[in-house]
Amino acid sequence: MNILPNDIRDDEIRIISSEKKDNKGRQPETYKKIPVAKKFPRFSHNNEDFTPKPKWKLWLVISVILFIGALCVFFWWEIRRDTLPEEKEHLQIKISKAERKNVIIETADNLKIPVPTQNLEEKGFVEYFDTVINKEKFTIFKPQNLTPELRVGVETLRDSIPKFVVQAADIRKDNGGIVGAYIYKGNLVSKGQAKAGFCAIINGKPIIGVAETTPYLEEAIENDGFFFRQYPLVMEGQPVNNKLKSSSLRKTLAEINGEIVVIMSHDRMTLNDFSQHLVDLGAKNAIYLVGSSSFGFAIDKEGNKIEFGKEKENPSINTNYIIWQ
Amino acid sequence: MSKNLLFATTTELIRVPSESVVFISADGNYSSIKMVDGGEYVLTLQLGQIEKRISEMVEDDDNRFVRIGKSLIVNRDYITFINPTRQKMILSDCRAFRHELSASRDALKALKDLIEKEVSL
Repeated sequence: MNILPNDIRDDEIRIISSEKKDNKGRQPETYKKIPVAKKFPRFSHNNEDFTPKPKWKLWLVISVILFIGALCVFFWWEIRRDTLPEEKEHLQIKISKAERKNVIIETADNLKIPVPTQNLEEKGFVEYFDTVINKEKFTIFKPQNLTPELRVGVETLRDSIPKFVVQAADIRKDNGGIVGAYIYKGNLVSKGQAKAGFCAIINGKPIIGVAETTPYLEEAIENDGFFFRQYPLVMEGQPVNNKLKSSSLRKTLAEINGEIVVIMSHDRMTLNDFSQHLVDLGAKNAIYLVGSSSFGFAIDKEGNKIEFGKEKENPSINTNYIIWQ
Repeated sequence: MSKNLLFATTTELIRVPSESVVFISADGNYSSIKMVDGGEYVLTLQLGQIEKRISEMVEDDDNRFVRIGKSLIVNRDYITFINPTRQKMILSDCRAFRHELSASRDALKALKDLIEKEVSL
């Protein structure tokens, strides 16, 4: 039962003084609750009016809690995105038929002979075919008479010269930088060694390997070559265990029977399963390439353009590719 | 000389000089008055009722009693130490008695500020 006009909380105080002070029927000052339940009460000259000071400590604590909460939500979202089963996703391949443009040569005896403008076989092309291993379907792309190099920037996709374009090194989500060491025409444009797999292109020759330190990095610099790092998948015919357990569409740059090929899975799978399938396909060495729906294309022997993946709406300026031309 | 404080129930009466009261603490429907001589009186009155009685009996300029939270009334003349962080307060005459009490941080901070302000005025 409250017998006072105002009750009091445990974090409040009030001065008890005579009730007789108030002669106008107002609530006696004695019982005026002093709002001192604040960290920094301020007093007026009569010691009775308190004005709470700014609750900066409280706001600081609230800010810190909100910040930590936001971080938790961010990490939760990242983990969820990485672990939850995604929508069914399959390798999308779109084939655009090449327009045949022939040149008409008029001979002396007025015979008109059409000849192809290009001999793609001589200029290089990409052979591709589907294969099934362990009940999983893959498409293998084999560049023929083409030389690889690296390119940075999505404008690479508009270039008509490359016959084969596949995304190479990963891009950091935090600052958009390239993950791991990256050498472009002998210049080290990104440092770091996040992943043990590497691809060096020296004098036009691609070398795939798995090593934390490799002399190919220096060699690529000395010879105006190229170098990037990715997750290792196969090393000397043995699958490499990877920590990433999520499933996704997979792409790899692999060495099979001395040839460098790109292999794409048609369905989602873990990196470890992918590594095992690559071993079963006969891969000696293999490193990962940007997977999921990363976009690229290949030009086949007939000049048809085979597009795979999906172009991002706002790609990073550091989106980089291994191209063959 | 200040007025005596008089607390009466149907069964008992306590009459003490206000300066002799060190603090009054609540224990449910009972209240305990701690005196400077070490004595203690237990009353069948709630602390709110005692607070009201005090306000009716003290002189106009007598602001020595301060209600601290729900369970304590102290005579501020005997406050010798306040540490809001440790929620500690000591009431003492620096000679015969010394009582260590606890209250909420915010209340003790307010009390500390109140006393500081009074000293600076």
